[in-house]
Amino acid sequence: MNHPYLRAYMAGIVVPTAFLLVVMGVFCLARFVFRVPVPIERVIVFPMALIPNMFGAWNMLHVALMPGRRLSIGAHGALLPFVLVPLGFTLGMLLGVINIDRDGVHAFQTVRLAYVAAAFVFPVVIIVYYLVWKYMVAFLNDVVGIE
Amino acid sequence: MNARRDHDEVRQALREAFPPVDTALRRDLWPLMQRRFHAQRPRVAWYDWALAGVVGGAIVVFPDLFLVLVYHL
Repeated sequence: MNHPYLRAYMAGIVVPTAFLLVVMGVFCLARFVFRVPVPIERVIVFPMALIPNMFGAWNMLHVALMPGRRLSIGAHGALLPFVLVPLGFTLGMLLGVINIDRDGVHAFQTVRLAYVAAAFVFPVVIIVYYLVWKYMVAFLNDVVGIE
Repeated sequence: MNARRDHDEVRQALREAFPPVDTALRRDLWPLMQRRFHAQRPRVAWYDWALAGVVGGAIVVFPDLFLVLVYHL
């Protein structure tokens, strides 16, 4: 089959695009049902616009790497938070939804994470990405005929 | 009448210029897709279950982590 990069992109964006419904659901429930003052219109741009495209581009990169130089797909996916978390953090700071003070990290005008809890964010995101790429993205790659 | 004849001539000229496209599939792709869907999937390794447990445990201990985690997915 032709167009391996297009297929890699399409397989890559499936998981975050589908999961976006969950993300939207959680934020909408929090905002409109539980009256949590989450500024959804400011925070949604990151999971909606950036993450699916980054998944697609990251999967294209996985295909583009020579098989000998390629990491396993789980390890490759686990590296993506090293790009996405700083991006999301910077974007959140710029949009005023993430703040840091001496008490810890304040996110979405609702969540207050002490530094101990905030230290768990990055490893937990890495683990989730590792599992998602190892089992879900790998399955989709297989379906569209990507090794 | 002349307009109709002109249209027929243009249609004929286009047909001659562009050969018919072969739209039929050369083979049936559905069985191949089905084989892929039903292929034996690799079992989830024990350490991956452990990692999933770590994620679940972290969310239970720090519930505020959940929204921040969702933001990054």
